[in-house]
Amino acid sequence: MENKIKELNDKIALASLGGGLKRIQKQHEKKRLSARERVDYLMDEGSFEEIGMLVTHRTSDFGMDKEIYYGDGVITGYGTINGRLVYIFAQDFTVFGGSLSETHAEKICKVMEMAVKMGAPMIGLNDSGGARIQEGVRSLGGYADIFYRNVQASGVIPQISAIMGPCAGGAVYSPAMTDFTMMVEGSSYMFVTGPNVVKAVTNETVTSEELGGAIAHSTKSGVAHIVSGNDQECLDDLKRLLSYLPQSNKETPAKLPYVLDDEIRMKLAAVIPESTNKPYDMHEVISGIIDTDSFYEIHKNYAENIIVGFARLAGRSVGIIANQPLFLAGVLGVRSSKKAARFTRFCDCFNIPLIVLVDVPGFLPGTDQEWEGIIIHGAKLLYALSEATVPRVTVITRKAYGGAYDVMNSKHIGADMNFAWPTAEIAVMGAKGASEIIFKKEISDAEDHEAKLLEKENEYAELFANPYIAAQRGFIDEVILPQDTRRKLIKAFSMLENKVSVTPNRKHGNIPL
Amino acid sequence: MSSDFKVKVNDTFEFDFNTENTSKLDSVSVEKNKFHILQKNLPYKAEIICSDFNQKKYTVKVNNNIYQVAISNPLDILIKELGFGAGISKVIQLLKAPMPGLILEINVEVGQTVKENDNLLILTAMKMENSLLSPRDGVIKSIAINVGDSVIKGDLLIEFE
Amino acid sequence: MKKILVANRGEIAIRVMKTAQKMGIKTVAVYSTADRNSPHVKYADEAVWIGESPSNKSYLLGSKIIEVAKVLNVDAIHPGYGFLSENAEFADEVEKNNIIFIGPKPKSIEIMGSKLAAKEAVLKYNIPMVPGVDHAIIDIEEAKETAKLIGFPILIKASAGGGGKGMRIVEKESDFETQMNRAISEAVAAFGDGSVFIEKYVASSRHIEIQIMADSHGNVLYFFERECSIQRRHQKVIEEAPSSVLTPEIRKKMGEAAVLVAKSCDYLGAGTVEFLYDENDNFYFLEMNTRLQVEHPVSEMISGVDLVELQIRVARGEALAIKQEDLKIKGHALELRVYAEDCMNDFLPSVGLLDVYQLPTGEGIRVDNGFEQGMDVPIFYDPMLSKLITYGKSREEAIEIMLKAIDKYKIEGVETTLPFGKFVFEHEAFRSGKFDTNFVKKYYSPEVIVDQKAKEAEIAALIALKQYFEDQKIVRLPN
Repeated sequence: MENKIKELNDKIALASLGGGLKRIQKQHEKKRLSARERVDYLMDEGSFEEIGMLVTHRTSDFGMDKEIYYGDGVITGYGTINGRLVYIFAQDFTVFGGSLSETHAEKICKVMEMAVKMGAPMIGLNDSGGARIQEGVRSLGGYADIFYRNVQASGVIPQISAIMGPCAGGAVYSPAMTDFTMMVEGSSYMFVTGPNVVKAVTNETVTSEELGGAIAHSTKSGVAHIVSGNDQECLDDLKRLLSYLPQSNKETPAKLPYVLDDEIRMKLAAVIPESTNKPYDMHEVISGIIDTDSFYEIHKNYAENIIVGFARLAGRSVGIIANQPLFLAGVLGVRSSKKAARFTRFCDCFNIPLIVLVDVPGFLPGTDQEWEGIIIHGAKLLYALSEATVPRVTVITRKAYGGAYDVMNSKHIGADMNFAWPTAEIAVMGAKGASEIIFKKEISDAEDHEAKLLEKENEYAELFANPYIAAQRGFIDEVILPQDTRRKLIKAFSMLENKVSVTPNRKHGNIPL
Repeated sequence: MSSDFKVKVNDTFEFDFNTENTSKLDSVSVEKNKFHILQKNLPYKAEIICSDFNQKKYTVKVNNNIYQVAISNPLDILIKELGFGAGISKVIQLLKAPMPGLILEINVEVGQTVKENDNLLILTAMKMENSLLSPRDGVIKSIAINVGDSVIKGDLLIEFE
Repeated sequence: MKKILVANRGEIAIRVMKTAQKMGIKTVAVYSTADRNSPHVKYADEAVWIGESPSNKSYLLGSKIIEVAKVLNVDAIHPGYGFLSENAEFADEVEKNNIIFIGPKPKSIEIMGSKLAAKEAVLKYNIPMVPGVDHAIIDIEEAKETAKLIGFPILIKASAGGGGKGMRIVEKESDFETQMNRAISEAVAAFGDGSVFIEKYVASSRHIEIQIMADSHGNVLYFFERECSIQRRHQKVIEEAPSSVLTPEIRKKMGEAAVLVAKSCDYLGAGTVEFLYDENDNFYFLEMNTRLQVEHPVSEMISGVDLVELQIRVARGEALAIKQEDLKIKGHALELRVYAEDCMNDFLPSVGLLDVYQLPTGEGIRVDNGFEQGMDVPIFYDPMLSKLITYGKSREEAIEIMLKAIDKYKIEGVETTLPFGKFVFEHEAFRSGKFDTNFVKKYYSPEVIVDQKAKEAEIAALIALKQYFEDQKIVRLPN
């Protein structure tokens, strides 16, 4: 019996070392934690149960049978994070560079299936050189198995990918289909084709970092939702993100305890500047509405003219979508529409109510916008919001012009409550533009065009640049004081807690993608 | 296999212990969470007042004095050694026009030291006065535009040292 | 006497008011802004705000206090200790306003307030004094000669100084002149009076004082001695009664000498005569404190009297009913001053909020306390939180009760002198009674306390780690 026990313990000890101490040390030298260390750090003390520790690959081509590692380069299993059940896979760069083989993929698929069955989030820590070339098509098959399960799980359980090393070639599609992609600055990169092939084909010289590093993907492509400074921060950020999400689509996110007070926030009264042309930071409005320090921003540096993120309102997890007047006057464009649309659909999948803060003067004009298809992407956001059945409440702080008014969660597309501040300007377009069109003759007839235009502009603004016409029609449910916004929202979302919405019976709609 | 733990008490005292040390400790449980210890022939009364297993923090009363104990396991020690400092901030060299517009105001001079989020210049566009805020702390190396200039998207506005 | 105003704060204000209450006399408390929520304000029958937090804007405003006293028809003012208790002008003003000052006459305060005047007054009574010069030094050369006669090391003392301030030790002749000049300039700066005199420096000495009480009928009693040699920076921290070294004969001699000192300045009320006691069992008169002292409780415990009650009776003109022969020492008492100070950091004041503040109780334990849990320790005044006093049938018993009481005294939020007290009461030199005023210098360093803490910290660490290993074994399930 003793021998048998020793045999088991030896195997476990060997498996725990992955590709060996030397390789682990190399990871440390590159300021990266090993896969096992990452899992240990992420999971609650002593909660992790590993599945498939002793799995090995089955290839003998190219002498592969001489090199066997227990676990085959990925650690899979389940544990708890802050007491909540989660499933995880963490690729081990020290074993064959974390490359994916048939068995490696099988392990991942196994936990993904369990996550769906048990209704718990799936977390992937990616750190892999790509397909294990020696396995040939088998590894491609492995990838596809994973992709398929990503889709089966999509909208059923939250799926979060953290890219903590290389992730190249086909491997990138899995994170792309998960709900959130996190990257570590300086030590992770993602691309479909690497710099070598790029150079060979297009003669472009570019480094891995430039091509697909954390900065590139968080500012240019929007592939990365969150960027962290190092491994530890990334895992801390992951834990924090998880706290806003439910276990599965059958549940609502856990509510934090909160003692209600008077909830008036006087600082909001001073946020909107006197001049309608002066910008302000919408982040200030957000912080004046939500629970202190509860904002978790997604896509912080991408399409900065719109802000999306999670927050808490009296302990309840909510999603926030807000135009940002500081950037491009807060207009909607191709990227901002895509950013907000995907966020909306995620919240809708997982029963997270939405707050939409509006200060939008319209859509960004220009050939690159039109030729990029602002029509389709703007429609995407309109569609996503219209389709969402979670409680959604709108607050118009200032401008809401033209089509953008309709798009930004207006009453007509099914918003549950629509509030507007006294500074709201709900109009078909800005006073100047409207006057130029409506009073064209009067202006051209006048002696002083400028003065006449200004006169007409002021007249128009008086009459139309306010929330009252919309309020008279019931398009706005209530015009509220800025400092009361938080109170109103807390009460609204409490009222909307048990909302049930019926969607027509269909396989799925055809959102313009 | 005794792994080494670093135990910090009241943020003042630090000890290196492993399972050997704890098994050698002559302590007897008197009641739940209360212990009688003999160390170097001197008796001590200890009581565990508070425990947070997940955070590895315990509050222990020894002979009527309260001590806050924080345990670091080998992984915590490794992370500390790796020196994960705060995230590296992006060092942006050039500030370019995010959209076409007119330069209304320039609020800085060459050689001026600025802090992140300082208002560098105002660009009117989309009928709005957009304040362009500094993306970082730094010193202005050069200003490529003048008040009244019209710029297109991507034009260089300010360069940092 | 129907109403007394206590011109003080903290524990002494409460202590005085307790006795007044016992005697059926109404009490008036005065308080500064910082003390609005202090226990002494809540304890009194009436309370009046007298100014902003700094002492010189409140508790030291004699005229304001007298005004309040007049408005409220107060019969007498008790000054406590510190503040205005030894301010002859204040005592005078109080009397001039037809209010009784519970203490000595202004003249007595004046005489004993100046060390030189005190020595002069006492001279004719043949009371032993430390060899030295009895007048202010004017001629440095003459002084140097006298110093050589007395023998180095000598002590330069400021006449207007007190409480350990304004003293300089001169080890050798070559240092004499520079030290003298500095002493004079310091005295001018600190006390406004540059008069200094010199004395022989008694290296190994004990500080023993005698409690006396004089009435207006010519009776002066002594209530035995207090041993106050455990001091740091010349401030007393631990006192006991009786002293463990005095024989009944010496006690009698010192007591009678103290009575003579009191008579020499026509004293009235409670007072303390301080003596220096050297290793050869000689005692020398140092000075007289013309007030009720902080450490009076230990004398009360061993002689079975209430000194504040006697003060009030004497102030009312009553004759002391006790006779000296009737006074006997019973048992032994110890006092630890609980200061909000960090004994590991040079006894610097420790500011903060008293998160936890629970007094020890039990047989033989008395706490003269001025604070409550949840209170801030104000920065404007003396950082004394309370006095922890224990009484036992023997000195050993009193020490044991004291050690238990220190353990039971729960204070969190500020550092205190409790660990220091524990160190002293456990120390062999103190327990054996063989110590002098050099005790702290000789035996104490913050390392001692740190060391003790380090040992306990190690235990805490091991217990926590051990528990952690146990906790690891418990199965944890997702919630």
